Amino acid sequence: MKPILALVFGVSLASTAWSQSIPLAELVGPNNLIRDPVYGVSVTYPAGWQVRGASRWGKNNKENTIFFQPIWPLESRPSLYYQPTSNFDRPAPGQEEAHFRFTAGTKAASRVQAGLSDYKNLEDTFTFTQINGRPAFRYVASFTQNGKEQFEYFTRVLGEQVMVMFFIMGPVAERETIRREIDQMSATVQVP
Amino acid sequence: MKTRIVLLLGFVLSALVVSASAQDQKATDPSAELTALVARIQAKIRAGKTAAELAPEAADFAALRAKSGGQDPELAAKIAYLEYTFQLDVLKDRRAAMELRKELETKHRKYLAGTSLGREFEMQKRSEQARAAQADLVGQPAPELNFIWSSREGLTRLSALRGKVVVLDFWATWCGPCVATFPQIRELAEHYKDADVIVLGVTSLQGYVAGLTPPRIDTKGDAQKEFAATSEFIKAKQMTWPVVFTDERVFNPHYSVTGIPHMAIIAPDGTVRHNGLHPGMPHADKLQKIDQILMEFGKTKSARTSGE
Repeated sequence: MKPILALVFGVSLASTAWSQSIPLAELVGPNNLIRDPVYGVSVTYPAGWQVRGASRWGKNNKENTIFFQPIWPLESRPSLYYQPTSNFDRPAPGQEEAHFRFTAGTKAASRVQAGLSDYKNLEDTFTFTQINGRPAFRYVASFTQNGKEQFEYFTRVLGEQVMVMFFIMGPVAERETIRREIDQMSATVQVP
Repeated sequence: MKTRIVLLLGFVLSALVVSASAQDQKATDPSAELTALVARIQAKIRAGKTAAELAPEAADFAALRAKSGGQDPELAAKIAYLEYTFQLDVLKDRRAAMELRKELETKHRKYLAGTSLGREFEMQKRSEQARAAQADLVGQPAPELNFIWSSREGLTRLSALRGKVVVLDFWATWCGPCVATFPQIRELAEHYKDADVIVLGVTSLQGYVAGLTPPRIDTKGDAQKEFAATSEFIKAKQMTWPVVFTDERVFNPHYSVTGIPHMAIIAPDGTVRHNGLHPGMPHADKLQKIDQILMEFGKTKSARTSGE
């Protein structure tokens, strides 16, 4: 596998020696409710979705990713990522939007560096909002892979103690369908 | 008045006829049937129905595929592909999915571009080509590697190691599976520390070093910084074997390295004996391969395998 693919899709993360899988029984409750007892993050995923796995990895083993399979037959594979704000410099109150825009820029730059040469953020989709009282930011990026038009959709939510990010890549034909589902899901997220 | 009623009735009847004929057409249009079937299945999945409760839809899929066979080949491929993912991802019926996969691989292959299965087929194809290329190198002179940095002083090229069995391990700091095999490589290096065997970790400039603090040290455009950070990485991960940076990519095309970790074993005469091995393979298998080469060249076998 090319390094760019491993980097971009985080394929290797779930299987690296640095990652530790989280037993799903610890996370997933009835009615599609996920609650991480360590970080206090909770979210309800849409009916028909499945949870494929979950890992703790990365900096201080405090980065976390939950992998989902959306309703058949969508090929896009969404993930939920979160880490404590102690892992990075949390922006001061009032600086959240600037922080979100900056991280969107660095994310795009890293995607380009990883080999997605035409990757670009669609700035007209940048939306600074609030989700359950927390500053949040949504946007779409586009790129091509193997000659096919693809999208990536991010929703970041910044809590006091934890930062959460929903992200998904997939064929552009699925974008609006999956976006609706992700928005429905992110509206339920509780971030301490 | 009568005329008006007759006209009105005529209009209503013709509207009904048109509507009925549209419905007939819809019912017999495989594309519309497929859309309806997918929506029906999704509704059942959302309602939490079990695989057994989806049996009617499985039958509908098979019937639709049979019906679409002689028509639009692209639609037939789409139906077969969706049925395949339905069997595999929803019903979890691997046997049925594999049957469909055979059909997809043969009859519909060219229509699969852009699907996950199409991408999988492409990856398989590339992987088979790489395996063939890796095998082709066996018995051939080992392609030269020039080192731009080495953790062992004075080591500048692979050919300087002629006379020893050389175990090349292609790796990078960001490669978790590579790091996961370090304990086995350490064990291998320790096993042969007194023999004419050298284990060599081969990497190349990546523009950053992972796995330290901070977890990503940017070294783009600064080779010296990357060498220094890699030295720290070597210490931190207890890499007791020599590590080199080559002037070519770690995905070395001459060794057909398409994924890392990737291991190759070179005989003392400089020919490649094994290529495309995984360093995590059983320890005994690695010893057997290396000992066989040592024996062939009249070199001392490792202490443990020779019973010393």
